[in-house]
Amino acid sequence: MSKLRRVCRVLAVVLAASLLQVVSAGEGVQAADGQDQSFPPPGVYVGTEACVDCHEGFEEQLQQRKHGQTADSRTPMATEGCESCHGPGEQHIELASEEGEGGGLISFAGQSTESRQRENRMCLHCHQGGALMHWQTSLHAADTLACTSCHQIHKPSPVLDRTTQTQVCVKCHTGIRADIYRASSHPIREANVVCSDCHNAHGSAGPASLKQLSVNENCYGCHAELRGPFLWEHYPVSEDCSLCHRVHGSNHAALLTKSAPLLCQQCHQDIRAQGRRHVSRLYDFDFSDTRRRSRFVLGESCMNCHAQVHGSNHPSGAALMR
Amino acid sequence: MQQTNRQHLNRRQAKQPVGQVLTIAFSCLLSGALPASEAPQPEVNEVEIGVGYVSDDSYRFGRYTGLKEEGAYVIGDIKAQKYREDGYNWRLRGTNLGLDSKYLRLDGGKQGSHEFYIEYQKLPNYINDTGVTPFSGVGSSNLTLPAGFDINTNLNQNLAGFDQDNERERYGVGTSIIPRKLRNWNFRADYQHETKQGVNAVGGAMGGSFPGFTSTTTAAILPAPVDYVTDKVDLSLGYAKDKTQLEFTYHMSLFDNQDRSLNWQDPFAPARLGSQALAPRNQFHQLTATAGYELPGNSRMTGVLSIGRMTQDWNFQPYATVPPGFNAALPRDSLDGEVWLKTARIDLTSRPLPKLRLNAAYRYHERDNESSSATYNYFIADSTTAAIAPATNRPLSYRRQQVDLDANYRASQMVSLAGNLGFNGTRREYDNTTANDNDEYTAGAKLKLYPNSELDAELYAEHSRRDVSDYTNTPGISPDVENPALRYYYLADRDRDQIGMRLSYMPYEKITLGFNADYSRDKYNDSDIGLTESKVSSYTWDLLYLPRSNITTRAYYTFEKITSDQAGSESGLLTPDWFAQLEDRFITLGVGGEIRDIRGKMDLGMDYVFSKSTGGSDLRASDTVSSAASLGQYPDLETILNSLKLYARYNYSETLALKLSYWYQRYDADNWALDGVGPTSAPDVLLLGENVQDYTDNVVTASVAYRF
Repeated sequence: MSKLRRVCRVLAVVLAASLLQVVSAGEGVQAADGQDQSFPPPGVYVGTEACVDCHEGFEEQLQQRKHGQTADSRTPMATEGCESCHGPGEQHIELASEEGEGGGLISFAGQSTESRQRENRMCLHCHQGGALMHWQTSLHAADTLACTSCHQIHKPSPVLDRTTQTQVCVKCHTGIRADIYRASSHPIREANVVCSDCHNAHGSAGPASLKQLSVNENCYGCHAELRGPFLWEHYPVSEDCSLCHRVHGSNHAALLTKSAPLLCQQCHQDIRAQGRRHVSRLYDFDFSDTRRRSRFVLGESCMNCHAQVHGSNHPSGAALMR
Repeated sequence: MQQTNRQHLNRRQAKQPVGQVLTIAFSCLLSGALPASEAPQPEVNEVEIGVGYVSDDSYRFGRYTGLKEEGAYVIGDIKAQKYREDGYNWRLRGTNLGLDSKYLRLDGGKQGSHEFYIEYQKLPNYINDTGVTPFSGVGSSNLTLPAGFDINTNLNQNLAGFDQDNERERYGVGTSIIPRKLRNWNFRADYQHETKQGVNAVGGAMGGSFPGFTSTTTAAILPAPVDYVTDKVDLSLGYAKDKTQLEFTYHMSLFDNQDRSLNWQDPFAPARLGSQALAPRNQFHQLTATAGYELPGNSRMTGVLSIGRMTQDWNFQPYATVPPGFNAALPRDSLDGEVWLKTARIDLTSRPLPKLRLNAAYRYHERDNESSSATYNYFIADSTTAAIAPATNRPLSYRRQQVDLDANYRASQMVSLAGNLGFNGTRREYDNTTANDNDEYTAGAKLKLYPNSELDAELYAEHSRRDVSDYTNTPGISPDVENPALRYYYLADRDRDQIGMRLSYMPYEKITLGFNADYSRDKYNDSDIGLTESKVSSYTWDLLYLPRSNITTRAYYTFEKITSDQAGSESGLLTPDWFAQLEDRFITLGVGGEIRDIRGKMDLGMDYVFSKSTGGSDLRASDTVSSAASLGQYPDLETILNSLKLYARYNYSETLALKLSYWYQRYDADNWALDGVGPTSAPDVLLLGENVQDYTDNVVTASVAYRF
């Protein structure tokens, strides 16, 4: 416990120092990209009519999206129009007029870390509640991912449709792209289960950006029959489903990390009596002996008898056989 | 739906007259100058109707879609929406409407005021249809054998096939309301009702000792009923304004099982009955409060407090289905199971300097199991043999604290450095016995390089060290029933090392190359018996080539290897006398491409995936084990998947298109635990005799898509 106390003391000092620094820093600190953090960004606003003179079709396209609903006073098109998100447009028009090229406003092209941070701030100004409350502390934010890395505003957004969402995620999460083709997997390829069913890509208070506060709570969302609590617990099951399962895909049945009996023998080497040595025995592929060892290996292996591996509520279920 | 955090805009600078003149005078020069890739793409309302044909029966091919039988099926997809100027809208999405795996959702309402949705989803899981069983009553909780059944003489003539499958149906409704006079608040309610029905395979053992019978322990794989109902409710009250966001949520989950137990006749001795408990009815209720606040200096703090309670209190079955006189009285009628889950978390993130980002997080999670504890004089698997020693259940509780500190410093435009420190400590209690406390410390670093606009590179490394105090295999039980040299790997002392790299290279604007490599090793230095080491290594190559604006080609290759070493002691001594190394290798290859707008009318596409998984084992025994001389290695566990999809879309007009597709898939598997294994291949166990379900299947579809 003394180690933990020391760590907590250190953390308290760090937090206090950070708070003191940020509070004393006051308003007006330059953002990482050196840009002023005022909202709306300062400059001359030219109006949506000026934008659509060159950028044809955008206004009509947005009328069929949430951001374009002028009846909702919160939306960009109900306030400063295009410039609500892209910033004041006068400089952009001057550049285009004089030099025949773009620039001079927030383009959401995500060209650099600084520009991504600036672009994200435009989105976060409106989208910071609810499911996005943990964005700033999320893994994606730490990697300086841009909102537009996954979301499209002026085109249909594949990440918002269950049939195309996984393709967006696996562009970066290439390991998952391979895992979902394993012999045993959740129905991710079929889009019956999609990434956002379990994860909040915008960050969460749970591990690995899971929507629930623990791995097990997440799994119980679809597998509530395993929640218990059970009379006879299988302790690793109560702690963490991923101790035995590889949730995105596995070569072994039921998403297990390896097959029985070796899976079980990682933790079970019972020595109580001669008759129980079937737990600690090395089971090889030679079934010709007279001890009839194949019954411990074929079929469901250990689960031929010990079927209630997630826990048992039977008074005779201490060995998970009932 | 998300409530926006909309500040009232300050009065912006008025449009300058000069700006207006410039806009009007020069905008026309730029009209139509946008590249095609930047042009907006409107949402498309489309309904697709057609027919598909499956060439062969295959349960496994149709496992999650329902395409398990040869023959035709209906294609039905819809995506449509309408937004009105007054803010009212509706959105409809439906997929696979002609299949068992259908999805349909309707959203509607007035944006910014009140919205609702209704949703339906059907999720099949067709596991295996090659198993056989002599039992009648498949799908019920009572399995019976035919009169005169004798496993030694008439098993084969009494075997019949059955389907292992289950099907979920989900119905969901929800609403979201933003009060007119409280624009910073929103209220949301969601309800989901799910049924899951089908048949699973469950092992059922029968203990040897029984009046009139002298036999060893036997077992049978039984068709077990699945008949679950789960209801979930989520209520949420949210607030967002300026720098503050709040959310209060209530979550409820009610699970019910229509079958309390599975009862069966022993196929090795039909006069005997077995009974095992199925998943008990349970409930979960949880309250969570989340807050976020923007601090000065580009900083933010978020906090979470949550408390939840899981309960279960189904009445117990008797110890065994044995003749009168053997069954003992239960110490109590039910568990009165109760587990409290408590979570607190606080995060602070800050950019005190333009180039520096700091993160600090503290998390506390507690599982407090207040279920009853009692001693049970149980019987072994419905025999009349009492357990060697009575068993006392020891509910598990634990408290976990985590601290994470991260720093990211952008040294220059080309270099970024990051470091992290972490602590993870867990304290466990098994009823009143404290044991297996562990503390894990982590340190890591990451280097990101951006030497030019064409190349990004990232290197990372991390080391963790976990120490355990008061280790015991069987807390509260003396003497230890497990080998004292055994260490449960999830509790054991462990050193974990991880390294990796990412490369992204764009030599030309039309080509992007990517390379990822990761390596992770867990070493359990103090574990003489049990899992001693595991390693995971992988690398991936990615290629994206865009030869023309309307052509996309891509390819990827992933290799992954998972290796684990474990040791055992057949003799029961403290030193291991056998060793096993398992190695799973995975190769995944993907190639694909699209050609769009051929002559302005046609799109073509192709996707091919090859996936091969090989699981090998190497078993070794020391000289002290008698079986060392005749050790048989397991054959590899292998699966190969080939999947090819070709598709075409011909736009007959602006509103009508014809779609064709062809899908070929072949699955080959070698699984020594199933291949050639019949119902009686293993002595004293009645198996299902199922096979691995290799298949080759072809699917052709033709459909019409109408845009409106």
